[in-house]
Amino acid sequence: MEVAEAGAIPASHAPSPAPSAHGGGVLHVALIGNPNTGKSTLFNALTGMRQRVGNYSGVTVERVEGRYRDAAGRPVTVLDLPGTYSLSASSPDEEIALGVLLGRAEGLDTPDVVVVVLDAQNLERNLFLATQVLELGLPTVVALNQVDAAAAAGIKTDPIELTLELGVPVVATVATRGEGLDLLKQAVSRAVDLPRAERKFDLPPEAAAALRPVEACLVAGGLSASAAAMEALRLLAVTQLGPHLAGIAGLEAAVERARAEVEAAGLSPRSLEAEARYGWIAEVADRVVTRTATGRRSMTDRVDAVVLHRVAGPLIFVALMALVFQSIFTWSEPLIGWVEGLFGALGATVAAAMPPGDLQGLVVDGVIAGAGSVLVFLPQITILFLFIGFLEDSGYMARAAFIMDRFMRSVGLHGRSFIPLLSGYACAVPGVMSTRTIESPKDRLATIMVLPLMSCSARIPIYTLLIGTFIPPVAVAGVFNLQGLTLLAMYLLGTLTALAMAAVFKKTLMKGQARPMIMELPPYRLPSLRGLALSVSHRASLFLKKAGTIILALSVVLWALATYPKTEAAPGMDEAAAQEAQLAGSVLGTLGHAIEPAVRPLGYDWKIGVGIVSSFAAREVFVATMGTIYGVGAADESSTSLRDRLRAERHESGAPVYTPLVAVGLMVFYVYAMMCMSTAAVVVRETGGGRQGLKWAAFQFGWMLALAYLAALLVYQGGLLLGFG
Amino acid sequence: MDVQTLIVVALVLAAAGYLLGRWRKTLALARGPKDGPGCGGGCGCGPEH
Repeated sequence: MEVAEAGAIPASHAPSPAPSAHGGGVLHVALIGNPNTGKSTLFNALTGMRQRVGNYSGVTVERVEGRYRDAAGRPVTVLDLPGTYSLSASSPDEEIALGVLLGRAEGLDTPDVVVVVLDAQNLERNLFLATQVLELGLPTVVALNQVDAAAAAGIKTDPIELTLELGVPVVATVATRGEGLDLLKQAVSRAVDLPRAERKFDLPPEAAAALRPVEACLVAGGLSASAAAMEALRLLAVTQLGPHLAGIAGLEAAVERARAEVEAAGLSPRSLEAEARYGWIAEVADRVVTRTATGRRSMTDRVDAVVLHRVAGPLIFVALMALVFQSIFTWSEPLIGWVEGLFGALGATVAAAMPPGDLQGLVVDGVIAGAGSVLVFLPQITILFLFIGFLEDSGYMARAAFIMDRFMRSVGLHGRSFIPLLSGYACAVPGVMSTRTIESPKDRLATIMVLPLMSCSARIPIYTLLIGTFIPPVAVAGVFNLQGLTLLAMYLLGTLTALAMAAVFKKTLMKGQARPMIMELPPYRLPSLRGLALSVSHRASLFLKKAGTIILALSVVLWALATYPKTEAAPGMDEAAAQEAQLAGSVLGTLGHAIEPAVRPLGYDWKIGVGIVSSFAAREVFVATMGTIYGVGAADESSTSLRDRLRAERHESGAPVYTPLVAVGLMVFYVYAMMCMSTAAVVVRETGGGRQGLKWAAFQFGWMLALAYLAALLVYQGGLLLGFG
Repeated sequence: MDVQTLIVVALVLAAAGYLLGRWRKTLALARGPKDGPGCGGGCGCGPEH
């Protein structure tokens, strides 16, 4: 590790001290930086455990403050501002950061000193925010963090050269090891007495002239001259002025005029700031950064050149997913057979050990056949999350998000919508909650509306039961097999429909402009076995917990509904017919026959209808319901595999109930249907709660159910017409 | 009513009671605080996320 060094301010610059706005002998410091720069680690290292967490006034953005004493014993408070890539004020986080630095955040004065945290591995990108902060004219110190990781990657930045370029002290730090903290504290204590930095680059003369009236307007509104210059340039590129500038007379009109003049000069108002800043930053980086080795970053760059290619990238993504889904079937088949055999043997043993009667029926047909039929899919869940964990930890999932961003923007959604949608593959509930990071309320609502279309883990037992039972494992193109491709098709169907519906919503109910996404692509690395084991065991334990609680309880209740009231067998009736008559006369049978006319056009019998109705609580309950119904209705207890029973199920005419066409139609129904009470509840809350939330949740449930029914109808009836019945 | 039937009734009622409790918990989620615990832990969206 390099010895931490503090840059020096040239002696020719005379100090221009500014009195603390706060007084009381306390120095108020604001910490700002891009996400993933180690800013929070630095904050913790500076302040120890002396922290206070609250919210900024009027918003849900977290406000974290801490304290320390400098070498002279003076108390210093540190405000950890939200991580932000710029001061563009396009999200609540950025708006807060800018408002605090301009002294326009409610309940907070302008900080005495600003510490900008830079990631030494990504200096160019980090300097964009730093140059914006410097132009605000506040006493500023730069913490050049993670210099050890940068050195390992062959990147060395000279803090003294950078100090001369920026005009403010630069301190090299390694926050994780506490290195450079004393120097940083010293620099912070002295920063108030140092000269302020100024803009380092010149704008084209036409642009500078066009911006002068805007700057005058901002100065008249209470901003300092330097802050007004930074704000005027920023306002050229944004669509809304932001609440911190509300009430400044004539500002909007001045900005409009400036944009028109800049455009008339042949310049782009939207990209003027980025071009000017990055042009200067590139020159500075050339002077202060030395790259001595290619190392890990260049391997990452070489892989990314292929993986993120415009054409090859999406193809690699789809091929990789196809291989993942195929492996789920190939690898899990022996394990599933083993677990099925285990539950079969358990059922037979319990049936032999217990006296015949309702209690035996409850344990064998309700608990073992019901909850057990869901537990059988534990190997597939485990293998899927093993792959997902590997892709996440290796760094590929971030690339997948990058690849998908292009498609997201084409349908009018913000790139940030992809992260919640990605969460939806595991569970829609955290996905809906994570839409809070989307700044546009319309984008957020559109994302929530389509999010349950992403195939969550609760659908896996249904997909794999039906695919494993009715889709043959034939090879396709030599490498793939039909089962894996069918599973991939279900995931793609949900994802593509989510994008298509988002496009519909964004063009009708929730009109708005798409915005680009900035995201960090971590270097590729080999995932640790321990990390993978932890994440897979966490997921598996959640699945087991759900099977052992909600699904077990539902299986018991469903068994009772399928068993009572009792129907006496007619004289001369064989055992199979008596079992069927008993099931048909039960509460569940009566309910199933009542809803049968609604599901008959989809090719389903009443038992599938009951499975669908019961799975409104949670999707996996469909499998448990099938397990219970076919357990109660089975005359032959020797075949306990649900898959065997589904294959053997016949209509009165002797035709099979389940065909590949019915199975595909049923899977399509579950791709689209919104069947999860937890998701509905969280949608109510996240769309405003009360009547408004209920309205959106009901709208979502309605359109998804209608889409599911129509799509399943189209698949079944269309398939029949094409001769696939 | 024999002992076996009594046990069955008790088990079914216990299961129904448990489901009712979960249902009420889910309804509370719709009204709960914005930083609530998600779905109640059944799907992996609990406090650890």
